[in-house]
Amino acid sequence: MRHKRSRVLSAWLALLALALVLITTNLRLSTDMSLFLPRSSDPLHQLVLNELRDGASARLLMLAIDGEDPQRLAALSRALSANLTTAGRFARVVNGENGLDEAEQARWFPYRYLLDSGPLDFSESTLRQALQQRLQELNSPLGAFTTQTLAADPTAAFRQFLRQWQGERSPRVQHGVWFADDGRALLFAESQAGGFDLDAQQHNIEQIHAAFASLDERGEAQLFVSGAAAIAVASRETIRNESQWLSLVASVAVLLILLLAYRSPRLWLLSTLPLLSGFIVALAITSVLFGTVHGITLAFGITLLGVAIDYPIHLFSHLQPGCTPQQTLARIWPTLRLGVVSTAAGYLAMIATPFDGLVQLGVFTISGLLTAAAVTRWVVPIGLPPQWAGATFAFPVPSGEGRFLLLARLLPLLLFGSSVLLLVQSDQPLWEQDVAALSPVPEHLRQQDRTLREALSVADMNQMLLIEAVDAETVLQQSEALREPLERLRREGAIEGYQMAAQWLPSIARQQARQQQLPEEQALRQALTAAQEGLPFREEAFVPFIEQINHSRQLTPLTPADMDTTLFATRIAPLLFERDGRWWALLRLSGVQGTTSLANWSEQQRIPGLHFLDLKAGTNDLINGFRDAALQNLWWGALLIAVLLWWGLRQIRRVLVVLLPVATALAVTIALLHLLGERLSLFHLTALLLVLGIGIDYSLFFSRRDLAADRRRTGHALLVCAISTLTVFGILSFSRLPVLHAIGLTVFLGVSASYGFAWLSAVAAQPDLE
Amino acid sequence: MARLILGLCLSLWLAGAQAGEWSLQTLMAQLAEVKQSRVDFDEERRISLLGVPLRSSGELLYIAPDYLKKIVHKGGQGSYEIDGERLRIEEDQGGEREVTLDAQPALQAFVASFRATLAGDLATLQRYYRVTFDGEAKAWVLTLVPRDKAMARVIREVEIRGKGIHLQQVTTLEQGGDSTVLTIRGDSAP
Repeated sequence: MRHKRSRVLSAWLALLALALVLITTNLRLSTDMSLFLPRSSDPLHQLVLNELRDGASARLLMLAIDGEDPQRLAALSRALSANLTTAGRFARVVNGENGLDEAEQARWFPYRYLLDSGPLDFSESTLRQALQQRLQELNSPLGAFTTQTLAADPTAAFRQFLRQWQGERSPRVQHGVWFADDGRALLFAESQAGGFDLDAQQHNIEQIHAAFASLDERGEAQLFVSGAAAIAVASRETIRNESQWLSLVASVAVLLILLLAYRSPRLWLLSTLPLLSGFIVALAITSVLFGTVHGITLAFGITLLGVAIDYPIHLFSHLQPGCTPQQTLARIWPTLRLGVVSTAAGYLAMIATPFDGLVQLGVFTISGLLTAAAVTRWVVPIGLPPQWAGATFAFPVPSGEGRFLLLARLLPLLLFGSSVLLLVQSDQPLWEQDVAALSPVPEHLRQQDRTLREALSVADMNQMLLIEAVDAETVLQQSEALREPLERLRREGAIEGYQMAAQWLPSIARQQARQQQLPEEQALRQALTAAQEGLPFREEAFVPFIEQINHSRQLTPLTPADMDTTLFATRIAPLLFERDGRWWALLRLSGVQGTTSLANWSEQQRIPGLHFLDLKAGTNDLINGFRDAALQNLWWGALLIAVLLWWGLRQIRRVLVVLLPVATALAVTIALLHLLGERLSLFHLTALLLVLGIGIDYSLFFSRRDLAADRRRTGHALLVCAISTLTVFGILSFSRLPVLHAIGLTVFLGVSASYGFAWLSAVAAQPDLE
Repeated sequence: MARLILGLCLSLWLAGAQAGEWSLQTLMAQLAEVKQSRVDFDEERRISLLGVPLRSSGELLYIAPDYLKKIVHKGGQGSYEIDGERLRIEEDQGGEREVTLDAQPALQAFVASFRATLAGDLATLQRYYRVTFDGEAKAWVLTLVPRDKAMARVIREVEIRGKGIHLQQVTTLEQGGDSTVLTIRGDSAP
């Protein structure tokens, strides 16, 4: 016997040691939120989702400064921009100063006739009109500022290009920098690091705040940072902080309850062994299988593993004088085992979902639960004293008689029926349709983000057209072919506006066509001389212009490869990119009226590789699709549980006594959530799975055929279980995070109902069972 | 009699001391007192691209602290109105456009050379220019060299000559060698 004990102990310790080694060699904790985004089966969707995660728009941080007068804010904007530009973590910091800087203006100036700068008309009359216009500008008090480029660009083509570049949608400029309409100075910073490299992004954001704090003239001004990466960092922080203090409070509460229930430090210590072992083994298995374990898997996994604290409780409460722990265990093990196995079966449903994060969570929880059960069965008894007085108080289980029996039989049926009726009849939507509601970021931060996006014209990509082809040239040409039809849509009011790379960077073909339109030197000279007739310009004043027109004809057209790290590239990159050897042009649409008609319109354009994408609707569809899949998995999980129960109990009648209260509890819980105004999401579903597992446990134990004394012990065990579970999830339900709140509230309601109905069911079935 | 002579000497001495102390600060303080003025001007712009100088004339209207209007009567009709940070340009063909000075630091600095001088706002002048001052009350010269890089690329120097609180000539020298001389003919402060 002693020999066997030491063998078990050494096996357990060896297992833990192995697990710890595996954890230290394999575990990489990830905070990449995209693990919890769905994997899409649609490659187009996937492309856009990836672009959202890692693309140029995901690297953009939006900054707003307020709290001082505009002049001070402008100075702060300039100082912050200079400070961050020299820091080197940002590819670019832009605050509206001059739009394109001098170096970049000089770079694009020679290309003004190739790029889109209005019609190329160099006839005598047009030139004359342009020269008269220039003369008037020279005569103005600001004339000095137009003379510099006058000789080379008398038609002001470059000014036209810059106007195009600024666009009507740029923020208002005041004191030389961007301002939002609400009076905040605006900047954006594009980071070098990818948008979902959250550690780097967090560092970037901290650096921005530090740089701002170091500005002397800060005064009362305040800095606000937003953008996809900032939101992701904020949600990670919130989840981390919230999970940490919630799990701390919950752990302390549970340990206090256990100490109160058994009044023995030894039991108290032993009760933590299954949970701890389960956690270590689960972490080892998950890290070996997946390599990277997500922080959220860890946080939720520990929460769901919390059920494992029930296992030693069952054992402790059933201990009685005159029996060794082994004897006690032998009595309750079949019930406990059935409970564990069926709970684990419930979590199988998670493994079959297309969310990597949920799959991890499923594997983590199942391996943790099985380990915890095994440790309860074989390791914990070794630590128990051979004789134990048992639970310190007995909990009476009333026997059902007369009216009470009738009530115990009718009440669950009544509540089940009315719950189902309520859910069927309700005109409120049962399911959460909007994915954004699942975001852990508080609504006011998301609102701020939307406001800044609008002010900075950083489109929130919802509806877009995508053009796919083998090279950049083809997608640019096809974009150009769409300009006229899109203009028509805008005039008709079907869309408010659009943005495409070809607006700023025309295709090579179009640039060459523009080169062809440039006049021959002789013709230009003649037209110019005629146009100058009677105007005070010197005869040779525009020689540079003639030279530049000649030069323009020889230029090699610009391509995406010529953009490097210019501001030009910053604008083009999100709209024109190469992925896996294919080129994509992304045409952003704003103010879309009627997405179905636009989908039809895009089909009528007969442009190969053109797709219309409604990302918001698409993502919602995706999530809802997954929810339906998860629901289906739930039915399979339920079926599997029923089969397992039948295998364990061998009587349809007893299976029903176990399952009916669970079904009733689930129905009542969903109805209560609905009455509370909660819309069900995937997280509620996950929580319901936990309720299912716990409920089966309660039902199994309550319906055990035992002597009265043992039934009292069972009552004690289940009460301690329920109180500790309710405490943990009650605390979770107070979380501000939609996810934790959903799980907490659902489990709290579900476990209360499960306990109640399991108890009633046991009472109702008692006369038949005995 | 001795008393009278003494008094005369004293007042002469005092007047002398005051004249000696007449400085940039004094000028600015006195200019700041002027709330409104209207003057006629002649302007001559010499531009290398043009064979002949551009000449124009018209009137200037100033209302403290930041309203300035230039109306051209001869040599190209039109008006330029600066109110705070807004510049409104009316052209002779009836065209009208508006520029926000804030958006263009160079223009903002340029406008300040004239407007801040009229307003006696030394702080603003010194923010945009390195200011040197020479002369006395009856003939002074204010020389402004731009600090702003964008403006310095265009404007080399602005020189303002005046007598007492009256500006007489504003000369703008550009980097390319072009120049503008604005001469003020008369003053009729209401």
